[in-house]
Order: sequence, then structure tokens, then C-alpha cells
Amino acid sequence: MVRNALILCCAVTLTLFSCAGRQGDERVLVMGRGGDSVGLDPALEDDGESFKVCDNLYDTLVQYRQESTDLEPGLAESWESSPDGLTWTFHLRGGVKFHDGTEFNADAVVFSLRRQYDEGHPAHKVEGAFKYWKAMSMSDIVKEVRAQDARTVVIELKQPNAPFLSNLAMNFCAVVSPTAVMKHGKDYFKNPCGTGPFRFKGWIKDDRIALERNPDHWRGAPKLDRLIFRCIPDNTVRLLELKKGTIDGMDNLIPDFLPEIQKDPNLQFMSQPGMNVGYLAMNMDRPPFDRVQVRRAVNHAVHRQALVDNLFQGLAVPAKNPIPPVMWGYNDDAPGYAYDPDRARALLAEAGLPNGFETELWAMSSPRPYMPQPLKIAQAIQADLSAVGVRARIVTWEWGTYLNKVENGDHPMALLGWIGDNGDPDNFLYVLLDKTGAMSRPSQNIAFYRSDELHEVLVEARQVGDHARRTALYRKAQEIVGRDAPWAPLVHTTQTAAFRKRVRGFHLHPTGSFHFFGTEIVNP
Amino acid sequence: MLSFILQRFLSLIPTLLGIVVVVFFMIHLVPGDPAQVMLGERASPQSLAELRAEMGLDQPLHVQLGRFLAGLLRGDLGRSMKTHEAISEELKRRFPATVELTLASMLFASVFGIGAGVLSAVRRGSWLDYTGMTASLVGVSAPIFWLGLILILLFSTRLELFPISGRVSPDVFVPPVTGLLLMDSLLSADLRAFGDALWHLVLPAVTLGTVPTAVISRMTRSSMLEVLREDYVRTARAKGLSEWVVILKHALRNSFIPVLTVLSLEFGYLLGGAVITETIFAWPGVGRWLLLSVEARDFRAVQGGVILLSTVFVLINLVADVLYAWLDPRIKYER
Repeated sequence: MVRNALILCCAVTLTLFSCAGRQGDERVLVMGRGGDSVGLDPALEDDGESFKVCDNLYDTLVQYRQESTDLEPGLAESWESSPDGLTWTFHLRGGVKFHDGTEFNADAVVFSLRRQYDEGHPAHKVEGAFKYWKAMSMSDIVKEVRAQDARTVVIELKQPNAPFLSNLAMNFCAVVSPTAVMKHGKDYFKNPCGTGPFRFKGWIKDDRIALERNPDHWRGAPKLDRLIFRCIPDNTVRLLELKKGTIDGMDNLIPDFLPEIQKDPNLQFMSQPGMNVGYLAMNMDRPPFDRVQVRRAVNHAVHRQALVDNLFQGLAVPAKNPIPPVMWGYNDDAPGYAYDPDRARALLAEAGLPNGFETELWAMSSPRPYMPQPLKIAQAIQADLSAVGVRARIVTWEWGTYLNKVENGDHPMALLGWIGDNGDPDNFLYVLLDKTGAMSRPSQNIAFYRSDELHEVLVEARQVGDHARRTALYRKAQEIVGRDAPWAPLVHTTQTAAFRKRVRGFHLHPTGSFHFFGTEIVNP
Repeated sequence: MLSFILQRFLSLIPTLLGIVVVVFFMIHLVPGDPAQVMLGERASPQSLAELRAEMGLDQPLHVQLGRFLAGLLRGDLGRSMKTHEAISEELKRRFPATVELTLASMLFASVFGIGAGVLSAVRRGSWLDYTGMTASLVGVSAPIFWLGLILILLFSTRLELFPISGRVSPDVFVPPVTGLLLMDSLLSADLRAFGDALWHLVLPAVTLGTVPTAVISRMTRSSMLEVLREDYVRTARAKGLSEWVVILKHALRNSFIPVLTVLSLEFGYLLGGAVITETIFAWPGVGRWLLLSVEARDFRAVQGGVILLSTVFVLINLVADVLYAWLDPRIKYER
């Protein structure tokens, strides 16, 4: 009797097991990632996993071109600024609807932006903060946002600010449905509603987010029926799922996986230079780093190519400037500092330190996108430095503490990096190297580099509208920074992703955005 | 018996209060500022100060503790500093996944553990015994991380018998009632979803259940061996009862107390210690959420999670104590 029951159980179970699997005709793309989104209100979040999903739910007034940080029309068909650069007028696209059926218009744009700074706005009080509005100092730039008529929005600035237009292309300036925000209130971040090519369908926390196509999107209907973001924390397991075909794509590849992916005939590997920099900052408030010869010596001592070859497995390029080559304004003519230990020793002697000196090299303990193995990198640099007589002891802290301390200038030399936000050189150079940042602590200018010459160049570049003039100014800025050497720029890491061969039409973007609008699945 | 249960219940209160206070202070002693962690490289002094004020971190510790305890009495565990969701909601969402995994693992561990232990005891010294005990040694020594990956490589990738990770296939949706997918799929009469959920449960349950199986089998074996030597077992055999009746009805029940101790302890450990299994198998449970909360210095989330798991652990032990009293009428509460 027991035996019969057991056989019956097995039979039933096996039958049930065979029923699972994917539905036949639907074009579904499953994207695997290491962590879940935090929230889907683009103005409240600041993590990449939230933005990846928001990229597909929302549109912005202006948007980045494919694979570039140049701007093209988005929800605004055209725009112009007044001669003094203080008034920007945007002409909005007509006939666009939000996913909840409500009309997209100037009031919606004003709502989306005003709620982030206007304390009296009904949607201003939220749990959490409008982090990017603050991080990009938008309240110092923007005076007022108002609707001139149903299809015209006017934004007035407090001072001319050229990067401002690039900021509008970022996720935090995406246009949200005012009706949905007012309806859901504090729960809006789990009930997102935008104008994007995909609509929100459901979210099981730490498991998956499901989106479905918006056939009425103003660019046309996307080629996918559904887009699912699955959370698979372990890197190896994620790769196994990709190889099996139960997910269609994954990003943030570990270099060790590359050979496996490249020899698999069902997978395609994608890479693109990232909009980031990893650097070694020298605290100019702490001797001997106040002497330029010492800083230049350090630059000559570090073997960047070896770092790239051994610790990044080729998924990076050596850096000579603070901004990456993928950005407009990159000064490729800058000489940089060649690997030359002899020259380094000579410079140290010039600085009155023929026997080198003792110091500390600070490194964070957690991997960062621009530096996946910070302690190993620190060890490699330590070896390079000791070859020229600089004896550095490695000091490490856990991430939160590390940031705290380096921003307070407790370090002589520290590793850090930056991931660009808006594709504008100002976002790197002004934030990280301008003297205003170094006037007080904590500071994001952790070299505490104060150059009046650089300051003048950067301020003018912020305010002038002409693109050619800005490019020339940023090229000059890179010459100044190169000459003064507050940093030893190390690497720019490459973004990577792997997809099944059946996925076509996906392109990585320098900002790290994941747009699936033009992507399709081609069945073999 | 009733007074025994009542007294055990009352002793819960000081225990839980102690846990809450200890957890609170422990977390605040950990270095690292949650505001800094949240804002990362982009933190400016102004945004740090604002974020700290918003999260209530600028208040003195005793004020924060007071607020927390007051909220606890209302059943309000506060809001996650990272996601801003009510922590009770976050836990409600994830706890069923952990419970389902734990129950499945314990079922696996109990059946195979007790079975192996009984067989080893009864056939002591045989190849069955040595195999069983060697297997349990391997089981208790193998790192869960490695074991999980090996099972996936073998059964999911090579043999393609089971899925790799997750609770259900991407296109399966089960309307949530209890959060236990097996139950909810039966409640909505969706046999396909039931099968899918069961299929996904096998490998994680085996992975997580391996260590408890080993521990339970050893304890069962040694406890049975002692009992089998007792006089009343010899008497039962002398009365002419069949060997299996002697073993299962008389010996097993009497040897069960230490096994019950181990079962309840293992259940408690599994509930909180499934972090590695949850990570490997992308299982959205409390363990992994707790780990991420610690990394993010989300104090309130960590407090809420630890309190939940401690409470459940304490309750399980209470149930075990009650079961002792039922199993062995000699056990009473000594004054």
C-alpha cells in the first residue's frame, strides 16, 4: 500500500515537473543582474539597478544618442536658450500619453521637476530624498520651471550653465505621471508610470521585475512583448543560467568569465569604454605631496599597462587624463606620464628626496566599478613605488569609513574613482578637481588641489554655451591638471555585457543605461 | 502541563526584550555611516547632513532606542533606510520564502536523517552503518557554497533535471495568499505552478538540508543505540513483537528527545543561516536581505530582521520544550 502510494507520488511529480518552461510565441527577454532595484521613482533613486529598469519605463525631455553622450530630442522636439543663457524654452511632443492613459503635457514636466525642489509642492514630501537633484546641485542652477502653455515648458536658470541640458537627459529628470504620483503617494516607487516603451507589470522583491510593451510609444512599439529583470546574486550561477539560455543577458562580467563566454557559440560578448576613471590621489596638504616633482615622480613610477594587463584582464585602458576617452573634450594630445622609473628617481632627487620617503597608500576593501580589485591594485602600485624608493604601507578601511576618511583628508595617497553622470566633462573636472571643493571638509576633491588657473577655465567652461569654445577650454583644463599632477590617473574600465546570440539590436551606452527599445529576439 | 507552557511563554518576554536591546546597541557599534554608504562618492557635506537628519540618525542613541521600542509595541518596526518601505512589509514579503525553503530542508533532513540514523543503529557495524556515518561526515564538512554549485553543475547544467535558480520560472505567476508558493498554487488550483515551484525547491532544499541531515542521523543513531540496549526493548522482543514494531514504536519514540533537541536547533539555524543557499539559488528570502541590509548599514532593517529571526527561534524552542513534556511525562517545570 505504501509502495503503491510512493509510485503514484513519483508519477504525479514527474508529470508536473515536465510542465514547466517558457511559453512558445511570446518574445520575452530575461535580463539577469546581481541585485534588485531599490525603487522605481527615478527622482528618488541613485543606484544602477533602479535606473536600468527606469530607462525603459520613462522618457526625458532630451535623451542621449545611441552609444554617445551627445543629445537628441526626446519628449521635447526642439529647444532654444536666450542669448544670456538664462532662459531655456522646450517645445514638447504632442500626442504622447502616460501608461495610465493620461495626457503628457507641460504640466507633467513641471510636476516632475518642481516636486524635487519646491517645498510647498504636494509631492515634495516623500520618504527618502531627491538624491540626484542634490548631487547635481540643481537648486543652485535652476531658478524656476513653469508651463507657458500645454506644449511649452520654460526653465529659468540662476546663472548660465552649459551642463544643465545634459542633466535633463539623466534619469532623475524623467517625466512621471502626475496622476499616478498623486494617487499612489508614498507607494509610487513601486507603481511607476511614465511614457516609456515599456509599462510596469509587476515586482517580486529580490526576485524579478516584469515589464510589458507599450505599443503606443511615440517612437513606435518595441519589438519585445515582455522584459523581465531577474535578480541572481551569485556571478557563477548567473553565467550558468546564461549558458543554459534561461536568461538572455547579463552585465558586469567578471574578467575570469571572458574565455568561457567567448568560446560559447550561443553567446555574444559586448564591451564599451566606460565613462569612469580610477585614480590615485595625492593629498597636497600633506608633505611631500605638496611638491610637484614628487607627484610627477609617482606618475612616472606607476606601470599602468601592467595593471591593465594583469589585474583588469584587458577590460580597461590606461588613463592619462581625469576624463575618459569616450567623452567629448578628451585631450588625446596630452603627453601623460610614461612609465619611467629612472625619471621618477631623478625627480625625487630634484625634490630633495634622493633616498625616497615613507608614506601610506590607502585603498578601499570593496570592489568598485572602476576598480574591481582595489587591494591587489594597491599592492601592484606599492611594488612600483618601492622600486623608485617610495616605501608605502597599505592602509584599508571598509567602504563607508574609507569614504568618510578620505573626504576628510586623512590620507597621504588614496585610491578612488568616479563614474560620470551626465556625459559632460564638467561633471568630472569641476566636482573632483576644482578648488571650491577643496575649501572645506568633507571634500570630493580628495587631492585638495587648489588651482586658480584651473578654476577660471572651469567656471568659464560651465557658463559659456558654445560647444567649440567649451571643448577648447576643457582641453586646456586637462593640460593644467596634467602639468600639476594632483593625481596619478590609473585606468578607465570597460563596461561589459554578454547576451544570447538570439538577442539583436542591443547597444551598451557610456552612461551605463540599458535601453531595450530597439532590441529584439530572433528565433533560430 | 498547562502551567508549564504558560511559564515558558512568560519567560519569552524578558528574553525577547534582551535580544532587542542587545541587537540595537550591537548594530550602532558597527563602524560605518549609512548616509555615507548610501550616497557613496557623491556625498557632499550638505547632502550627508540632510540625509542623516531625515533618517533620524542625528538623535542621541537612547532617544533612537526609545523611539524604536515605542514603535515595536505598536507592531511598527520602522522603515528601511534604503528602500523606505515599512520593514514589517519587507519581512512579510520575504519570510514565506525562507519558511518554505526551511520546511522543505527540514523535511528532507528529518526523513533521511532519522531514516539513516535508525538504519545505522539497527544494523550497527555493517556496511550500511559505515556508509551512513561517512556520508554524514562528508555532509557536515562540505561547504554549502560548494555543495550548491556542484549540485547545480551536475543536475541542472549537465543532466538538465532541475532548474538552476529562482523559486519559479519567469513566466509563472502565483497569486500571493500565504507567500508559500506550494500552498498558494494549490489554493488557486494551478497544478502547473505547483509543479514548477516544487521543481525549483528540490536543489536548494537538498543543499540546505545536507548539514542537518548529517547531524540528525548521528544523533538518532547514538540515541537509538542507547535505547536499544535498555531492558524494556529486550522485554518487547521477548513478548514476540516484530523487530520493526519494537524499533519504530518503542525504541524510536523513547530515543526521540535528544533528536528533537537537534531538530529544533537545526530548524532555528536554518531559518537565519540560509544566506548562502539563498544567494546561490537566487531565493528571495530573509537571510540574504539581512546580509544586504548589514552591508548598507540599514540599521532598522537589521534590527527588524534579527528580532524576527530571534523570536521565531525562541518560539521553536518553546514548541520543542512543550513536545518534550508530551513525549516524556516525567518532564515538568521545576520551581
